Amino acid sequence: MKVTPTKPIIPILPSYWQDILDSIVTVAKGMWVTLRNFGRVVIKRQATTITKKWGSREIALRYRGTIGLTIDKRTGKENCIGCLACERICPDHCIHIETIDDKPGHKGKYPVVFIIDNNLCSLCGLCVEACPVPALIHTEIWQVGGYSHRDLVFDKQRLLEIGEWQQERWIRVGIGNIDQVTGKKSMQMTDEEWQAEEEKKKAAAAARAQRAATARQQQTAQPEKTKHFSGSKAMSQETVEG
Amino acid sequence: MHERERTPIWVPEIQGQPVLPKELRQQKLEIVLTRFDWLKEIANRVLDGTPIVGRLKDKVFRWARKSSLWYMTFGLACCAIEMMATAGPRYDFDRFGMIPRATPRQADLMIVAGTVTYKMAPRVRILYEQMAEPKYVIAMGVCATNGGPFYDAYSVLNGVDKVVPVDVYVPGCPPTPEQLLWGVKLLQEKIERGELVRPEELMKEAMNEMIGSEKR
Repeated sequence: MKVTPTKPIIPILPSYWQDILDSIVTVAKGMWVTLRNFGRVVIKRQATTITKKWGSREIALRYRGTIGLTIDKRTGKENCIGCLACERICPDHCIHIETIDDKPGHKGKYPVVFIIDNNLCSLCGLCVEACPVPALIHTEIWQVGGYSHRDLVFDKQRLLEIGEWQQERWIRVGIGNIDQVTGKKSMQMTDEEWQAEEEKKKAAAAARAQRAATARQQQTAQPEKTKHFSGSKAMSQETVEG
Repeated sequence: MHERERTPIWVPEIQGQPVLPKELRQQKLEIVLTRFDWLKEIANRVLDGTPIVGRLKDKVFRWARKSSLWYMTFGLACCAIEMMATAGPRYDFDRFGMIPRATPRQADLMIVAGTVTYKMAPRVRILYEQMAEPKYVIAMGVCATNGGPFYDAYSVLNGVDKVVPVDVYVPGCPPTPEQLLWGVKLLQEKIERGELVRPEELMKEAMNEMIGSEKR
């Protein structure tokens, strides 16, 4: 005869009821989140998807968009002084600059060719930080793309267009002009200021020459003292020898 | 991998891949092509012969291609994260009729997102070959366009255009979801209008639009 073993009665622990309660509470919480979002989208009309077809989210001030060159509004010339700091610091070697010296109206050098190769640029922002004048800026423009590599190589004219657009936008929005935004000072000046500077330099040189001439005159006017000194020296030498 | 005469682009070999003899392959290709020639010709004649459809055929075909770009998920590096973000609910790829596909047989568009190494290059090529015509390629990120920061590195291909023909280049490291959407827009314009579009003009239009929508 086969005897079936009796099953031991498992006592219901209080944690069992606790688990059931927990499951109900967590499901209710999850459902509440979905309901809230449903209400937010359907009733309040706050959709998570961006509403414009090709639009974007709101762009922050420090957004690192494509790079542009700026123009000094006061003088109407570009801010770049051709110091090649950006070209030297660029880790991807995507900036190419050619400069000429001594163009009147520009302090230092002047860039004739300024090319940024967006095929290589990873928008790290080192060039913008390295720029000593407010010439290179990150703009808010992200609409960059092309059908060939050539479409992505931006020459100086294109960079200036982008930079000027961004400058005007900053002024219109009320953030301020380019010197206030970047915290650097432009080194450009108008032709009149350049001439005044040149005249100042000339005047300073003339003054220096005059001072040198007067000094020479003074030297020539006091020949006796020097003779005296030489005489005393000669005397001392004689005494030493004697 | 067997040789393909159709394209002059460099294709690296994979070890252990079965190779079909050249003559046999040529024969097979010719049979396949000639088998469907009559069907294509009849369809073309019928469509061109009818008065309204003949004019609209091209437009309708382009519209259909443009608005159902199913793309193959080809995430190779950090750009893949941005691609996933673009497919997510915020920047919804689905509203342009773009659905991610895991197989090349069902895909029209390949978004190459990330660095293409020499090891991965032949696989990219194979998957491109397996896609059905018409097929398009977007090179996403500077690594895929030109090598980017890994330019001239020992193990990295300097741009996918060495292996597959690229339609649209999207620079950035990585490009934001909006920028990828912009690349998709460029591709749609290209499909719709042919090669007549210039990206500079589209960019200027967008800049003017941004001026119009400013808060003052």
